[in-house]
Amino acid sequence: MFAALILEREPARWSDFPLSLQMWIQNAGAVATLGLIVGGLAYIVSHWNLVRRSFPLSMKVSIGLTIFAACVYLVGIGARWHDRILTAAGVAALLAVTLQIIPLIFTRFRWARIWAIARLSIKEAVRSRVILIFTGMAGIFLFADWFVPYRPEDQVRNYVRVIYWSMTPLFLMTAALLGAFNIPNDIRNQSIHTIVTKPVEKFEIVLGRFLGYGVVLTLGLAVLSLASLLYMIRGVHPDAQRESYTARVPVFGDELSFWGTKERTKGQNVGRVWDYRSYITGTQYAIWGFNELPGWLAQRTEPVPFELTFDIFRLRKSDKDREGLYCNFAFIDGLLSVPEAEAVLRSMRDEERKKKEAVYETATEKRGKGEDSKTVAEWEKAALAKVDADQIRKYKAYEVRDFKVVDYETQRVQAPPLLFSVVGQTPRQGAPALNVLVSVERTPGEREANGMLGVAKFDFYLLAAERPFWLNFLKGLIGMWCSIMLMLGLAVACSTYFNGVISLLCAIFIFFLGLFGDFMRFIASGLAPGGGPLEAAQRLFSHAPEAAPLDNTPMLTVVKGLDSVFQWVLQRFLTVVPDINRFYLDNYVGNGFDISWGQVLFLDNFIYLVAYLVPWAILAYYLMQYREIANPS
Amino acid sequence: MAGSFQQKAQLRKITYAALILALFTVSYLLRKHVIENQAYVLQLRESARGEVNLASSAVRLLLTGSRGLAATVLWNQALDLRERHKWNELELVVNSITQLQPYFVSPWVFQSWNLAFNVSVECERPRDKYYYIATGLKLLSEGERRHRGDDEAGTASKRIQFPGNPEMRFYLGFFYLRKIGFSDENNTMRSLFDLSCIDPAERDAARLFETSERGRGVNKQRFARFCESNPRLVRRLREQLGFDTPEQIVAFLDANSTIPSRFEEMQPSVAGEERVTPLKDMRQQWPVLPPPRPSELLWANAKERTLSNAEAADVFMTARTWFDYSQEPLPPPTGKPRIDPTYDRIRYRVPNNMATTIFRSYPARSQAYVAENLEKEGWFDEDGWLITDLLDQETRVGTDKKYHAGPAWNRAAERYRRFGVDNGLDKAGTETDVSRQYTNYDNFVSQCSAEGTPQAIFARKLLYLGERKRLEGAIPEARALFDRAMPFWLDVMLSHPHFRNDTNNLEEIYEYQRKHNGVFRDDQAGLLRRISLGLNQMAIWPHPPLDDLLQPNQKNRRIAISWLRSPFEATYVYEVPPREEEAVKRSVCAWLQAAKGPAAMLPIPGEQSRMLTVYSLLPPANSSWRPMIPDNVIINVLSRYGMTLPTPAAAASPTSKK
Repeated sequence: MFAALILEREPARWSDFPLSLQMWIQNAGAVATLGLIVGGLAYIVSHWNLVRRSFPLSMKVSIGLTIFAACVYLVGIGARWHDRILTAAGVAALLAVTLQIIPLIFTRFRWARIWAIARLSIKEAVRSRVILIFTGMAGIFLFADWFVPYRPEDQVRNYVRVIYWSMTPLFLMTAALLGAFNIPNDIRNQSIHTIVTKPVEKFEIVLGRFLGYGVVLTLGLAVLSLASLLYMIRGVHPDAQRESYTARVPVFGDELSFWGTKERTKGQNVGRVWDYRSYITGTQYAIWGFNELPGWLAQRTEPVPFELTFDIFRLRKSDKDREGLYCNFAFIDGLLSVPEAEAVLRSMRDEERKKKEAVYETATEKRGKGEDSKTVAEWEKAALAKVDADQIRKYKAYEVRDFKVVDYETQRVQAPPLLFSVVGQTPRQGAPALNVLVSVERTPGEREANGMLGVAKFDFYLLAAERPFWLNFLKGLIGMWCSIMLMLGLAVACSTYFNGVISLLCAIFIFFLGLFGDFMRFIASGLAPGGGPLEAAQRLFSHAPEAAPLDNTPMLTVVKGLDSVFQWVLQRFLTVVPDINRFYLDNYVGNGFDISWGQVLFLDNFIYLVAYLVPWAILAYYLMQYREIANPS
Repeated sequence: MAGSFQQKAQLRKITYAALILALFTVSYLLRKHVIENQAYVLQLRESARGEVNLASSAVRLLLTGSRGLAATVLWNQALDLRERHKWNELELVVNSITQLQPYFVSPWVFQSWNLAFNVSVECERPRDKYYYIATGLKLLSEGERRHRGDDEAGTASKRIQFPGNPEMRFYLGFFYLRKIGFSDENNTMRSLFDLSCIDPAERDAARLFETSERGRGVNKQRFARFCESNPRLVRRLREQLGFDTPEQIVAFLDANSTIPSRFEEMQPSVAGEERVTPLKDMRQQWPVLPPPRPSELLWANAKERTLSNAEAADVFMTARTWFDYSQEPLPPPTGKPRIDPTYDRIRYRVPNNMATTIFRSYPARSQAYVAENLEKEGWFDEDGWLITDLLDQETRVGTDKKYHAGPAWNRAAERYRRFGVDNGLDKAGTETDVSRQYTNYDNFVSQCSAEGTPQAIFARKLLYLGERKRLEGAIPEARALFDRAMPFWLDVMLSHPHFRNDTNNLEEIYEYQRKHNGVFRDDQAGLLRRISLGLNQMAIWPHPPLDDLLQPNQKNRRIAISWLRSPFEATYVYEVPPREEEAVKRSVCAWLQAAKGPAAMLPIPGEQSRMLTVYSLLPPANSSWRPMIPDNVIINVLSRYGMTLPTPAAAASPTSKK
């Protein structure tokens, strides 16, 4: 079984929201400054006579803010308080670009007009039969079973993946076609004049189109989502049901650290190309720190489940068909360091052994005296439980020893609820409330462990609850909805200036760039093996391997300098490229992990969507505003 | 005159319509009767290249020019998914790649290898490994079907017949051998393979278990029937994998009930009715097999419920069937090691990445594996396997001829000889010598001939039983069996010079010899200790009472039996070219008999094979006498046990003097 949630990019957290907002202001502000400078210069040059005669106050303020922002950006880079300075510049630039829009929104925009245009868009979309594209899904429902191979336990995962893969291009293509062609067609056919000659703001047309097509796409997605859900749940194999037909609600540790390895943040590298997991063995520990624990844990009477899915890296071939690696799980107060925890665990084990031996001896004596065996067994059970409880109270720790971890199998260890009322729920003195120390035990009959344990932060979690699959499936599609809206927004924004085909290509191009965003970020970070593009080219031509250092020549210095310039430019460029991959949540759905409403759907998807589309909306406003179409105002 | 214009226009339209109709009719008739016939004769249709997949063709047409780009992106994604251990997605992507590039051999071979080797090795549980091996092989077999060409290729027909792809067929056999036959967990893999070939109703754990007053247990009658019909599987589970009880064996069947199979999913049982699960369509079955051939070819037949009635079905037989099938597209052999360069390149194919002679040797090689593995699992002759501890009473199973090792070895020898004749390896010559060398022809022929003799079979059987007894700790019985086996084995070695000179065989027999020494030492420990002490005592003057003076562990150390040279090591043979050895021995034997006079003219059985052989603790003075087990073999074997060759013996041996 392989029900592991692999998150190479952690979803945004509420605690990071202020920082993200600050970054957004800086980036959007920088783009706005650039746009204002270019647009402003173009306007002044082309309308010089008009500008010379009358120079409205709002424009003066805008120019002032733009000059201020540009100067501050130039000064702010590298300054001591550069973050705050750049944020101030960003605010100024955003104020400059929205100076015209915000008053309009409150004084001239009418939602009734926008909704009327939206209704018109819906009717046009229905008449144009573009939505018939959705019927393409029928083919998937009819024939997917023929072409999708799966093991029983992979059934849900594969179906989810196939449904997402099929629906996404259908909806994206529809969104791009709807968004890209309508406004240019209206302009080309001059039918837009029938609208703009009415008391309608040009930007209301853009918003109305976006809203109307958004409604069409949302309704289409809703219908197909329900059909897909029925297709999914019509016959789930029992193995798949056990594996991923659920929605686990995980509480992940806040930090995964290591002890006994070279670096605190990393375990050992076993040579796998994909370094998502780090490996431990012998005397090393992987430590999950839970800063805060859910409040309900203290009131819980049932054992608290923790689930894990680890990778095992074998160190040698086994002469017998063995599986699994024996591991210890220590749940311990987060205030203790690892040596202190080890000492505590040693003392705890010794004391526990002695106390339990005493209980066994007493039970044997009682049996020897002829007491009722059932009563003695009950007494023994209660006494052992008391020993365990006393140990937890005294040492604030609990240990699961010799737990057999099987490669890539979702397994469960349980901790007694008492532990969570003892260790506290919140961090103290900067330390987590609870640490879970995982170590590898010697393989029975051998001198050492026959393998290394591969762990990642999201491989171990507290299982808070399990929710129904269907709800999670629909939540996953909300992520897809966000990506569709993003494509629609891009297409509509481009269509305010370009013709239909160019708008379509632009929107698709920007969207596809977003699909490769992770790769580009990796290149821009300068961490790619073999260096930047020029250095990589040099290696290619000189047949030098990726890992080998190059001779320190003046040529190399120039190449590295140019690469760093390229990386800086790429980093700036990436602020315009959308991060598409965050919207694809089939990883959660297929593997049976709940998608949280707040963190994943709202913060990581919806807020991001809004934050990305707002600058495009502003751009669309200006592009539409300055097109040569009759303007009522 | 408008009417005339209208008339002209009308006439023009009618003419055009008639022309269109006529052209369409002509083109239709031409297509129907000429082009289609030619396409059939020249094999120009897509179907002539092999099985056609409608979905694949549709996707390729839809993608038009971007097919290569899509395949490249998917290829990259497949590698990425493999690194991320996303096996289920990898399967989907691999399927897409092969559908996009069905007539490009590399994606099929590479991706099936990827699944069968790289993915399976990452899985911990044998069942998961087995699943991905099966998935990889099924993928390759699908590719093979797409490249199968005309399956009737080779039959007498005037039309062009495209052959299949020999390499894809070869790789199918090769993957079977490497991933199931010889993998690290080959015992489990082969057991799972056997399970795939058994009707799920027959191996249904619910049927084999029963609940009685004593609780849940195995139904002994049904289990006995299961043992009788699947003796190899049960014996492997019992002896190789160490399942001691019927419950453990049935639990293994239960745990692996859902593995890929040749049969449809098991239907729910009706009370009192013996269920029979129907076979899947040939293309859906696992293990995947080539199309059936006449039964006299000893071919694993996918259409029958039992793969073969003449042979014990196993992975080696399946691999051999694929190797046999891979020979069909090759040009007919010419009696020379090289193929005729003027062969018909439309009708035949030769492998791109392997010498044709080596390629042609694989069917014989895999037949040798069939025989070898029968013996490894303890199947030698009509004695079969006596089940002593799994059933209520002792039961002998697997006595059928298909479980006998002798016929299997004989078939291997016959196949090798035929391979030699077909490729001219049975003749001397510079070119044939080279080919003989790189195909290891002489050794393999000799091995198959030697192993197929009744003495070899009997000796192997005794050695196998001796080893089982040794592992069970029954030392006297083990020693008795080893004692009986060694003379027979010596005869086999002496009468087959090529076989005797093969390092693998020598190492194997030397290992047995060491085990024999070991059981001898353990069996005669008391006697040997006294002799050893006595010899030590005699070596010192005045003779000290060592028995009183030495501690028990010191006495044990006196018995240096592990360094003693064994009978095989002390056997020296006179060096004669292997091809001439038999003739020389025959002559010497005849001369000796003649010298003894008419009374001794009848040779003693085995006398001829022991000619030119001496048994000596010290090497003979004449350097033409060679030890049967050379030092390098001894060193190799000893190094496996962390030991080195003792210096005095090394110094005494003629090879080390060199």
